[in-house]
Amino acid sequence: MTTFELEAVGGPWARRLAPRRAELDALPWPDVSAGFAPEDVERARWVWTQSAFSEVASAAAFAQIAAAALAAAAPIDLVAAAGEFVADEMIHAELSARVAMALGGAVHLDVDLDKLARPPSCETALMRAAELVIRASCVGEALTVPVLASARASAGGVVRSVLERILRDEVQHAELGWWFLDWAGPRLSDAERARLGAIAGDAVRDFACLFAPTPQPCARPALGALDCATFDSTFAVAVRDRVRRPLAERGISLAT
Amino acid sequence: MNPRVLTPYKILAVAALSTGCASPHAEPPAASTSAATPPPEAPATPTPTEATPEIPPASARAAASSGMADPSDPRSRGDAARSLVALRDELEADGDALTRIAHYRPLCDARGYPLVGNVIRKGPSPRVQPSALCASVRARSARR
Repeated sequence: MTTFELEAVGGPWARRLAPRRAELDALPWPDVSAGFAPEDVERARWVWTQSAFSEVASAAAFAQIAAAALAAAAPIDLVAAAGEFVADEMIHAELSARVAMALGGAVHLDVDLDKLARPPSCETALMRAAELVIRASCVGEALTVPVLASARASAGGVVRSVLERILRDEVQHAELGWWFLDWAGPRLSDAERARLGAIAGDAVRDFACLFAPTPQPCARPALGALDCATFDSTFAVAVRDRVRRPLAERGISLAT
Repeated sequence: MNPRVLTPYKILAVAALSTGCASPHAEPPAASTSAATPPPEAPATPTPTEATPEIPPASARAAASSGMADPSDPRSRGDAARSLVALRDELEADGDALTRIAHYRPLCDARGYPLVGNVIRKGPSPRVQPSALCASVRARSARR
């Protein structure tokens, strides 16, 4: 395990990424926490540190998807998009890091960088790509979009701008999964669709630990963190409308 | 192509105490807040009217990493971050209270792989609120 931190090397490599986040450099970063209670800032530091790591993990997932899609002979523009999403996620990681730093710095997050992206378990190249796409795009990113939209609605200033920027990309990241399944659909058997439904169900259940078995005190929304009621209801609706329904439209039943 | 000596700079570093527990009544430090060692002109001990925060307030800590807001100057960004990391390292090596700094884990699946997406927007469990550490850190600082 290692403490999660990020570094950059600068030079031409920083300049290469600069256009992707140019509009955010002029924001009043030092003012991010102005007017917020210390407990709100503390909670937001936790959320934004987690956010930075989630984006790094998402980058690893899309790198994996790009390689798997190549092996599955997927259309080149889908493969290229997956590759480009890696850069998107690194920008998101940087933006999340900037918010965390503006709030005072990251929390101690112990991570295992040897286990950044879960390898696929399916046998064929097509199914391996589909498995990765289902987990990352059709579930993870699809659930992210409405959650980030709710967080944006309750945020202002720099945090709102950062959430808007991340959200803009995540919509496409979620969309890639459905395009991939539309391409792969005619090549999938019923058994393979059932397998993908089970994989999707497992992926949704992995988020279950976000929900306490009994109601717990939950702070008000602030600085990109949501209150429990908003989060829980947003998540539940998203599973129904953004995961279960589009999967069903493609002949894949979300296993519960 | 000749080899280069690269000096990567931190864009995300763990806060000095990783708790967000700034002294509630502390004045922002007048000098650089990113240096663990006070500048030569600074008084060795605070006067009664000056509160010396054991942790810079959030705004000051943000200022310490102000290079983040100036991506055109990666060197200054690196210097600020290095100072922040140095302060963190010094504090971490400085006492048993700091060994109780809250450590967290990312949200993972049953096999230990992190979940994809940016869904974690709820905040930490109430069972692991790091704010409980703040009082002991302040108390420890006061005993010195």
